[in-house]
Amino acid sequence: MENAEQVKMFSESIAKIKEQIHKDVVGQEDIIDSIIVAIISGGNVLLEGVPGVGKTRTVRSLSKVLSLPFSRIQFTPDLMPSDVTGTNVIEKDENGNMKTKFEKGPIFANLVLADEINRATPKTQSAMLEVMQEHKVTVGHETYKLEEPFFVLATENPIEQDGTYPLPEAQMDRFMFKLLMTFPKLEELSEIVNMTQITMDETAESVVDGETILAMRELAKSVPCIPEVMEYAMKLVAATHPEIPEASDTAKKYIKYGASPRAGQALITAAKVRALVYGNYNVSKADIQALAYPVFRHRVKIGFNAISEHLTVDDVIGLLLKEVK
Amino acid sequence: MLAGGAFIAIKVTGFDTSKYFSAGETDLTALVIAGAGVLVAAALFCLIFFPFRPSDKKVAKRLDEELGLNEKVQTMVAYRDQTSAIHEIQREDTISILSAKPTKALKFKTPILLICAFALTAAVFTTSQVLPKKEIEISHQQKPEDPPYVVSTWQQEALVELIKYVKESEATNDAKKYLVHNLESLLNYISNEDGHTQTEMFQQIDIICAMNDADMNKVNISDDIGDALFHSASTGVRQIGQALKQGKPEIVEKAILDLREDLNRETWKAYGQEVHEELGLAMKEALGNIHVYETDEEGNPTGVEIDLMTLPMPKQLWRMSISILSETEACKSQAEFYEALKSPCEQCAAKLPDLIVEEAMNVLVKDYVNKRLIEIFKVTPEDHKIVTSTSNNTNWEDNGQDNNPGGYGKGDFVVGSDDTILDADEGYVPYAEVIGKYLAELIEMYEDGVLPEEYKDIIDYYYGLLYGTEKGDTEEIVQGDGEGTGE
Repeated sequence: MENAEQVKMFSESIAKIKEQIHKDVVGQEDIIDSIIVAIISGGNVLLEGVPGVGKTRTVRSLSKVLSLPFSRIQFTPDLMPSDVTGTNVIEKDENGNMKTKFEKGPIFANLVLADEINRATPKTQSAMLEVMQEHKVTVGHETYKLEEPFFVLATENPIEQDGTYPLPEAQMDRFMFKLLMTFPKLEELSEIVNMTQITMDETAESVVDGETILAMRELAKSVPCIPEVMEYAMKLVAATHPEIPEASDTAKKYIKYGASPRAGQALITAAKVRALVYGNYNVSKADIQALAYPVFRHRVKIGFNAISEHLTVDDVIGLLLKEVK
Repeated sequence: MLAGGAFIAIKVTGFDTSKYFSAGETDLTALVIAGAGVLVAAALFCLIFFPFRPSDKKVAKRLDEELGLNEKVQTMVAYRDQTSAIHEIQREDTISILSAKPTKALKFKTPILLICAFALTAAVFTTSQVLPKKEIEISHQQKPEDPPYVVSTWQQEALVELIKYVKESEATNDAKKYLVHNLESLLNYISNEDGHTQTEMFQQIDIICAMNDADMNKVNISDDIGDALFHSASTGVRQIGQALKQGKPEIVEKAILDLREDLNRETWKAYGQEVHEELGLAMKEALGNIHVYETDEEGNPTGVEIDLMTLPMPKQLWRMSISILSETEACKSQAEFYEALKSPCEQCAAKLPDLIVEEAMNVLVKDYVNKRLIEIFKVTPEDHKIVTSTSNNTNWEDNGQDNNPGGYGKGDFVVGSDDTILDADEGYVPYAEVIGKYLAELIEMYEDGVLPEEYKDIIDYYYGLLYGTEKGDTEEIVQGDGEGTGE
């Protein structure tokens, strides 16, 4: 049962987290806020950005602030699933007998950075995504549960497409958000260079731990959401499907495939967290609208009409938000 | 509410409302109506506000939308019964934010429905008091007075005397029958205990006079002439006959004029001779048994044509027939026509004077009756000048009459009547202009032996009444007042 202290704690924790992260990461406020929302919501994030914009640094700094173990997996085409999940190895015990021992893979961390996941083979991607979904690893007959909170931040390099295996839509649906990490602004670039001239290490300090994150997650579930806002979120999801009666004109014209019901779950769950993150105590339509982009971006597939009109998926989402009231 | 407020404002400020509507007793009425207006407006307000007032949900939604509160108020209202910490904090947060908002931030929403209801109520009650009362006053002014008509004893006695006169007159039995019947119906009418208004009475007199005219036309010989013509083969002649049978002089005149006009048309000229001949034959055949002739002292026909202009109803017909027949080849000359007319049969020779006399007497009696009815019942001091027969004294008491506007004694001189009569030469003229001429014609007829001796008294009496002279002074009338002496 939540209480006033917990609510107060939530706001204070968020403030601290942001303060510490910005010691290591310049700019990217929206990205950081979204990642925090995703972590507290229990979702995973797909991050798209060119190299060197601070993807790894952000997750590493976040792991330090949240006092959570961090691992980074660099996906390559030759990476095997066991390289991600871990494998049994044979070793001699003290008596000289051979026995197997499960060596945990890099996935066994609270915060995992799956770098360039689109470079891994579909088999390795599936293994990774299965862990993301179920928060456990099965090797042989043994099942190893991952420690909560478990968060995966996967990245995709939008430049290098040779030798990559784009994630199928069904797999993409497992990510709560897809965030676009843009190139820093000029003043931010200057600040980054100045900061890294001093040290390249993260200087953020730990302010919360895993238990706190879990408590915050539990508290966020109780944030009130009136039926009208719920209905609005579901309308948005339904409006992305051109084949159903509730389809919007935008969907009929520009969308090939709409978002799954997971998008609705993601919207509401994340909206509750977002409300608290921004100091509100109720879910509003503004929260839903703000989260529509990261939630729908990787779930909605635009059609030829949008491409021919040079519309991005974000442009189509914008049209959708204007149409659905 | 506006009506009540306006009324109160008027009373407080002492505003002069008499310019706009009648004062006095309307004050109390206005107060009552204004009060009723207030009650009705209040009732309307309750009826509209409570059922149709916005719900908490709608109010909350409006607050969120207009103040940019992102569903805070709606959440607070929706979960007002929740007691968890997050809900309480949410409520506190919302209230604190609302409190911080300036009051001007919320725009006033015009309640169109309420305003319309108030405006309608105010308009109804205010207009009923502000509109001037002149309409009613004007309508009262325009409405003519129609006082009750009280029949005096004298009037009843005069009517009874008139009935007696008709019975004893020299009119034919048929004529008497109709006249007496009409007068007795009038007597029953005025004897009705329900009473009548002046308008009703005057209308009834007009009806009786019109009935007398119509009945006399039916009785008189012109009906026989009309019947004879009505069976003619000629359409024009039949129209004249039909008009004669109806007994309305204006219709006869019109029929004659129509026939004359037809004959004068250009299109008829090509057939004129033939039409004239046909008409001439038709007229001659129809009038074959009716002759105009002159008799000597012994009553023998002299063969001299009688002046047809002295005859009342058929004279137009005679003139027309003469002019038509004289133009036809059936009569090579006017002399031959007259010759034809001069050869009457013996029955007609004996009959015609009586017919003419009877017809004239019927008309005389009928005219007297109608005039007398007007004198007794219809004339008021405002409508006519009243001059006594001897002294021009308008004091009725000098004449021994009671001061009753409905009654006039014998010898009163009544002028100013705008009654008209169809004159043979002039058309419709005021009776006063031709009365002398008619009297002269009657005198001449009497002197020529056409009228019997005993008719002279009737003529003297009748015209004496009209002129206000003593009996026997018709000569005086003719010499002093007559315009034209007839032909």
